[in-house]
Amino acid sequence: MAPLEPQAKVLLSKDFLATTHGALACESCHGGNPASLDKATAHAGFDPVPSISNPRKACGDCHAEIVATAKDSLHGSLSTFPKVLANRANKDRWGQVDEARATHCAACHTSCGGCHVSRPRFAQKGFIQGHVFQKRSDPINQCTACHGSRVGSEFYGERGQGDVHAAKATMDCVACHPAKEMHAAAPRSLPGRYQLGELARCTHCHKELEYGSVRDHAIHLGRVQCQVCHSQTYVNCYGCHVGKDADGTAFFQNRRELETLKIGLNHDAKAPGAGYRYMLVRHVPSYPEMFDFYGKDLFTSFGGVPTWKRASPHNIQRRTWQAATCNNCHGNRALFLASADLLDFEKQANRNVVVPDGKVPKPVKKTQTLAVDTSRVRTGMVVDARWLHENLGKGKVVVVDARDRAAYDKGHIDGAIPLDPLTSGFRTGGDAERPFVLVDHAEVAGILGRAGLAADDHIVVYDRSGLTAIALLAVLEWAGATHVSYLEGGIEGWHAAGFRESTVLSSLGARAFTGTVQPRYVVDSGTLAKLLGKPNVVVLDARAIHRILGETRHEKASRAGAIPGSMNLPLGALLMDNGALKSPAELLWMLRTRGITPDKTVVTTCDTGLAAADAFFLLRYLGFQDVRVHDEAWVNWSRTR
Amino acid sequence: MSRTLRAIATIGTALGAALSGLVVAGAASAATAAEASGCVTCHLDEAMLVKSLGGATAKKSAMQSGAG
Repeated sequence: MAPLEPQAKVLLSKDFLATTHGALACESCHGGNPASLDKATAHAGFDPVPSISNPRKACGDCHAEIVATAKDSLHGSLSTFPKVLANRANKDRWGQVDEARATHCAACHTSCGGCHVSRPRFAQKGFIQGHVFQKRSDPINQCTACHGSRVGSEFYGERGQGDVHAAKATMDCVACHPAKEMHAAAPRSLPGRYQLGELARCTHCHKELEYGSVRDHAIHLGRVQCQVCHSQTYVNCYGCHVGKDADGTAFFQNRRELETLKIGLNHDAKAPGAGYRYMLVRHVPSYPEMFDFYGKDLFTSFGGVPTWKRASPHNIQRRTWQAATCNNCHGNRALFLASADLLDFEKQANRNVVVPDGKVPKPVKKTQTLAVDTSRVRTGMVVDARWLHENLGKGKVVVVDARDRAAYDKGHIDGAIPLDPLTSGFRTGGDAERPFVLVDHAEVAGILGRAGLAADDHIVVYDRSGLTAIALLAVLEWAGATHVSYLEGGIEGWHAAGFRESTVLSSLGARAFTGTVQPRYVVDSGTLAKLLGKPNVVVLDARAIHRILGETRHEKASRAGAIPGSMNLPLGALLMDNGALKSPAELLWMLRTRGITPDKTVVTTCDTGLAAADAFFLLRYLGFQDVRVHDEAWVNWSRTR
Repeated sequence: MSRTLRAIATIGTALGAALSGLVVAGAASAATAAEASGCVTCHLDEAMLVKSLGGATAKKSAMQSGAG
C-alpha cells in the first residue's frame, strides 16, 4: 500500500469535530501546546501515538475494561515473540537477541489507534477518515496494511483465487476476528498465538459438521485441520535478514518467498481446538544467523522450535485441488513435509513435524477420477529452464528479458535482450485520453523490429513474477509473432535450476517485424458490452477481490466497481509467485469448477489491460480456442459507462 | 438467580451507568472540545499542512519487505 501524502496523514475532517472523541480537546490525548500556532512550540511534548505510549491514560479513562486486556493483547504486546526467541536463543546473549527483537520484530506492534483511527505505525501511519474513530477496523487501511504480504494477498486474491469468505460472503477481517479476540490479553507465558483461547476457529461458525451431508467431514473431522482440505497454496518465507540502513533505519527483509502447500504432523495438539493429527505448515524465515547484525552465535538452541509452523492460510475455498479426489492427497508423498524438504540447520527443529513415509495416508483403492482433458494444452507456449539452457543460441530461439533495465543490468540469462513492456511504448500512458491501451500495430511492430525481433523467431520471454513477461507475450501474439514461449519460473527458476547469469549487455541488429496483426485477440468496450450475457461467453475479471468489492480502485478509474455480468477470477489463480505455474490439469480443473471451460469464448479484463493480457496468454496455453483481451479495461470502462 | 440477587444486579447496573456518565461528563468538562483547540487551526487547513510539511519524508527503509 502506498503511503499517504504527509499532509493527508494529519488532516482532520470536520466530521470528527462532531463525534464523541471530537468533544475532547486534542491535548487531552496528545499533549502539546494548543495555544501556539508555531509548529515547534505547538508540538513541544506532543505524543503522536498516545495509545501506544500510554493506553491507560489515552483510552483507558473511558474504555477501562477494554484497555485492561487490550494493552496485553497479541497486537499490543507481541508477547509470544520473546518466548519463541528464548527457546532458540543462546541464554548468555539474550540481551542482544532481545535488542534485535525490540528493533525489528516489534516493528509490527500496534495499539488502539492503529486499529480504530489511523493506519498502523508499520504502514507509516496517517488518519484514514480525518481522525474519525471507527469501531470496526478497516480491512484495507488497517488490518492488511500490516498483514499484507501473506494474509491480505491470499484473502483478496493477489496470490491464488482469494478467499471464499471475501469473494462470496463479503466478510471483512472483523467478521472472524471480533473484539473478543482482538482485545484478549495474551500472557507472556503463552507459547504461541495458536494457544490463545479466544482465537477464531472455523467451528465457531461451521458447527456440527460431523452431522452434515458432507461425507468427507465425517471421515476427516478431528483428524485433519480444516485448512488441509480447504486452503490453496500459500507463501513460505526463507532467510529473514535484519539490519540497519546507512542512516540507521532498521529493516527486515525476506530473502526468498516460495508458494507451496505442505502437510505436517501436529506436534502440538494441546492448543485449543487443535487436536488433529495433520495440519498445514508454513516455513518461517528464521535461521541461525538471522540476528548476526547484533552478534554472533545468538541462536545456539535453534532446534528448540520448529521452522515449519502451523499455518492458517486466509485463502479458503470449498473445493481445492488436493481434496478434489482422494488420491490427490492420499499417497501423494510430495504434499507431506519430508526430511528432504528441510535445510541442514533445521532438521532437529522439525523432527516432530516431518511426516515419515509410514504416516502418509495410503492411496484409496476405489475413488472417483477427475477426467480433466489436457489434450488441447499448447505445451510449446511454456518452456522450463532446462529446455532453454539446452536451446540457447540454437535455431531461431531469441530470449527476451522483460524486467526493468536495472534488474537486467544486475544479471540476466546470457544472450537475453532487454525489453521492458511497461516502458517500451506498446501502450498509451496513464494521462492519455484512453489510458493504457495498445498503440497501433505499425508502432508496435516498429518497436519489436528495432529490438531485433522477427515474427518467425522462437521468442522466449521471462521476468521475475511472470506479470510483465506474459503481458509481452500477449502483445507479441497480437502483433503476429508465430512462435512464442514463456519461461516458467522466470529468473528465479533459472537460478533454482543451477544456471548462471550474465552481466554482458546483449543486443540484436534491427530487423523488420512483419507479423500480421491478430485483431480477433482484442475487443473494445463496445464489443464487450454486446457480448455480455450471451450464452457461452465468460467475461473474466482478473483483478483482486477488493477491486470487485469496491473497497479500492485504480487511481485512473473514475469509480470503484466491476463490469456487470463479469466473473471474478484473480490472476493469482492462474499464476503463482515467482512466475511459477501449476499443472495444466490443476488449472483446467479449477477453471471447470467455475464453469470456465475451453469450449467457451472468454474475454479477459482488469484495470489496465496488463493482468487481462496475462490471463489471455495463460488460457490460450491451456488450450482455450477463443480468448480475447478487453484492452480498454476497467479504467476506460468506468470513464465512459 | 434469586429475586434479591436480580434486584442487586439491577441497582449495580444503574449505578455503573450513572458513574460512567459522570466520568464522561468529567472528561468533557475538564478538557474543552477539539474544535476549541488551537491544533485544529492548522490540521483542518490542507494548504497550510502542505506548506508546513513540504519535503517530509517517510522513515521506512527502502530495504524493508512486507510482513504478515
